[in-house]
Amino acid sequence: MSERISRPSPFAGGISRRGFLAGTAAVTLGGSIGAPSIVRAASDTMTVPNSGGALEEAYKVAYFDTFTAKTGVKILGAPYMDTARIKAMVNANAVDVDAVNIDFAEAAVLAKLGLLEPIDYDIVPRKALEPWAANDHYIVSDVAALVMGWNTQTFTPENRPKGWVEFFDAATKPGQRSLWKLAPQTLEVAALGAGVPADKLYPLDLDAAFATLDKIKPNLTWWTSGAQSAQLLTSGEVDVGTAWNGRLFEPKNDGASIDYTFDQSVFTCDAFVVPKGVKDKKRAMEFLANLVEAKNQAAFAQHIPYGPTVPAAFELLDAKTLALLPNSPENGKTAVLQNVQYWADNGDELFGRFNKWLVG
Amino acid sequence: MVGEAREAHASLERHAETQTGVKPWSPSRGSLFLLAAPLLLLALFFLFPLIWVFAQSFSSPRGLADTYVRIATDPALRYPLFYTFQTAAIVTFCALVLSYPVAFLISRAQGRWLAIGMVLVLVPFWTSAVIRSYAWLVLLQRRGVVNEALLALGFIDRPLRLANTDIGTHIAMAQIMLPFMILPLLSAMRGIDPSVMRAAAILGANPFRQFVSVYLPLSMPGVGAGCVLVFISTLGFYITPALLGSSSPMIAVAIEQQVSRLLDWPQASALASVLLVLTCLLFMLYERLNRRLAGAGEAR
Repeated sequence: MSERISRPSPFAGGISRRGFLAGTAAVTLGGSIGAPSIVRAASDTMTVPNSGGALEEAYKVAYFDTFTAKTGVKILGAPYMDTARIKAMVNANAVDVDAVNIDFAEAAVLAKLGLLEPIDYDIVPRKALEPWAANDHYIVSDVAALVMGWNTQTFTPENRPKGWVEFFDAATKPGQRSLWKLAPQTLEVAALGAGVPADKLYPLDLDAAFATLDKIKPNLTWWTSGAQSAQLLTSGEVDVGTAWNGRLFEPKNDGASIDYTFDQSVFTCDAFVVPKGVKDKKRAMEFLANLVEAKNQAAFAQHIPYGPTVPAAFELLDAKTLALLPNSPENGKTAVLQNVQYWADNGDELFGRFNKWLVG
Repeated sequence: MVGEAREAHASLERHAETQTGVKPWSPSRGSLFLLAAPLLLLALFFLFPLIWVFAQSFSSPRGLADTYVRIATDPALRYPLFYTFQTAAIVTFCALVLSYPVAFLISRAQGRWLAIGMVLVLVPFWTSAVIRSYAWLVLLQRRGVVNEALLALGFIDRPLRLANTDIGTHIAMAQIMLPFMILPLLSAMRGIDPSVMRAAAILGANPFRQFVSVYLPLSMPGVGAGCVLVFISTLGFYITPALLGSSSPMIAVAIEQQVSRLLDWPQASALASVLLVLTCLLFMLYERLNRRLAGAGEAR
């Protein structure tokens, strides 16, 4: 899920264009400097693969630059490494990165496979973090959300489907729907759509979830990438659908005819991990400790609309920023947190059943 | 009739051989050394990884052949294979029907028209498939160009659902594959001696008969090559079905999910191996068919 982030579109207005150019420059820089430095592995640089684009810019300002100011160690970004790449790297005993930004569901899978160093909570202040963000093998660094978005030419905030139960009721709220063509998060939304209460979501009631998905099968368009989820809504190809808030925030700002709500959103987060066999484990832990500082977390949330996992950071943010964050005290009231441990333990079965439903 | 045309074709080939009077090139022992470097490269970076993938497909912790049993029994793994071959067949057929007249026109063209025709084929060929897939999305979506035009002309009352359906995917894939069909057809068609057609006309064949009995058989090598090229390329489509696809998954998407989501590399290897073996079998079938047809022509 390297692409929950909204990469500024080159087709949008002036500010976006600058953002895009800056993003491109950052990527090019990462590419050209990153590669040889991995070979040299100089002790005064760290390599941190991450999702890139707008997210990398926020990480750079909030976490990378502050760490460099503190220790003199330069942080080099590198292209996103998914579970498969980390598995290959650790198995080949060729760990040439220091810490990795990865989706927290992938982090849970890596932890289960024993491919990660345990987090040293003597160095990383555990108490600063939300309890669920401080895991044995990964820390959750920020909170994004899968939200309900709609095209404002079809729906108003008043007559839109209110909640996931109405989302799956195409008879009373006619219109084309869209969902992520992948089991995680989509099955959560379907279970919520079946009326399962948020606090009883796990283990997922699969029979109810698939029965709910059946109801909108004729009115359903699938998306397979974050960009597509936003494109479907802005172009009016679908009337209402799921998307990550980071993907809808920019087009909405730029005046596209879309809107979204944080009601009943599904939290899906970014994590940081340290692959097993890392060269300098202590320094990697110090890097993670820097992530957990409230002022750095607040700086991050000011750059990209993803919420902090350090509660103290909320006090450093103004109302305007808080309104954009999925897990601000106001927005997070009805949200559910994706249970990634459940997914790591049952992924085979859940993916298998979802894929079977797709072709059935 | 087909046999006669083949005979004419074969005699033309023989004629060409005697005219040049040069023996066909064959590798001598010395020149084989020149092949050592590319062969080594292929062995190291193509053959070895391929064997490794195949071996890995038997390394599932659930049992030696478990991955293959699952492909045979689990519809979520079996269906993508079926759907992929079905899609490849449909796309190949559509591309052939669309390409044949285009290639025929270009093969008859001379000078500036030939250049224009080639540019019209080659510019899309050089354009990235991602960009063309997005272009199709813009054209086919609910408020896209095609729907707006059909609505404005009064052909439809409500927008057609084209994007994110099988039809939309087939249209886009067929268009992306057109150059792979047109170019082999063109090369076969330009090799057809116009005097053969004139001879058929002189012998009393009407234009339809000229086409069916002479031209079509002579263009068959191009048809075969184009179909094989398009069919096999379509099997590996990833980005177009991902952007425009319906709920049915192509095999490439299924393999990617096994590799990066489920980390089940043995299962991914098994899917890839089955795809490779089926593709090779089809190719061998085509080669055999080709040789038999050619052989039959020689024998007459």
